[in-house]
Amino acid sequence: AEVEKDLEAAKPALIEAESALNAIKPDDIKNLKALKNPPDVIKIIFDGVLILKRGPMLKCQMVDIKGFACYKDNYSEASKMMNDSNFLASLQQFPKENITDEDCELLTPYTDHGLFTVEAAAKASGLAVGLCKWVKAMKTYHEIAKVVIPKMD
Amino acid sequence: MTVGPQTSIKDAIKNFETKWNCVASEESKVLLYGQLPPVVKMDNTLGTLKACKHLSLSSNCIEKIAGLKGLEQLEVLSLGRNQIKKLEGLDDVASTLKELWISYNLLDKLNGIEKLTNLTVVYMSNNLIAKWTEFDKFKELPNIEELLFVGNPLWEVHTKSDDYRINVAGRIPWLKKLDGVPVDDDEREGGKALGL
Repeated sequence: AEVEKDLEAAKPALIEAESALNAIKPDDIKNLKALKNPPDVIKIIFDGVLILKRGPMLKCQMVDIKGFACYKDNYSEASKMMNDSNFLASLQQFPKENITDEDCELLTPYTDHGLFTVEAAAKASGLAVGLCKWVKAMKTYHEIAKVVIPKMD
Repeated sequence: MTVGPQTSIKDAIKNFETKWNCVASEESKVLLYGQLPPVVKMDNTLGTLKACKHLSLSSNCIEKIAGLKGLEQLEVLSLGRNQIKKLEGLDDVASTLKELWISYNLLDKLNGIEKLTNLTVVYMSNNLIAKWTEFDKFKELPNIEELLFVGNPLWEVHTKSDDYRINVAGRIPWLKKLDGVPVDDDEREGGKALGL
């Protein structure tokens, strides 16, 4: 029972992520695809999604985005991901139990970044907010579950 | 080849100490990941990390594994998202190393892994392993329990032909978890039937 209570701690983040994803409409993706050069905040957030989905990533090449040091984006891969009509469903059904410590470590340079915030995402689009919350919630879930689940054995 | 800006191991250690207000040589977990500009070279400065059990150097541009002499307690080595082509320079930590995290690199061969017989966890998604003859070097690891292999060319081909998991289970029947999902008895049976 103690253990279940600990896992409860991850619930608010998961519920928020779920409703954030549900708030994304298919049109949001269509509109985003129509943009030739989407805002940087969107590119950074999509890189976070790519890492969780273990998609291909470029090497860590440093670029400057409005005074923030940052990695060159992988937006061409992200675009491919969006072309999949099941993209949103794949996030809703994402097997969060399979996230590894390594996945979280690879995510950290992104989630710690000044542009990887709900506030920055909100200036771009509702889609960005939804994905930003989702990535953060997946990381939170893993960080709580990795402490709690071993106690269940 | 032009040499761009890079962070030395010495400076990466300083950044870690400043960020966490600690003395790196006393820490069991030393986090040097995601340096901007990236770390390109591992060097002997790492050997000063005497208490280090978990060393993280992921999200950099390291091309070669080196400088691990002196890390006598190292159990987890995290090198994901670098530019590493070979498993080398690991002899000094082979007797203690339990987990190797090396996803998003350029490994096309596994030569050298056979010396790391204490490994229980190998994360190596998104590398360049394309042949079962390479993959079969995992058979030399009697203690391996968990493997992450998605995103390798071999994974890609056999995911399409839908015989990936049984092929792995047939080769390493003692593996407990593959790509985050437990290996089950049906998969082991299926693998056995392949007669590998």
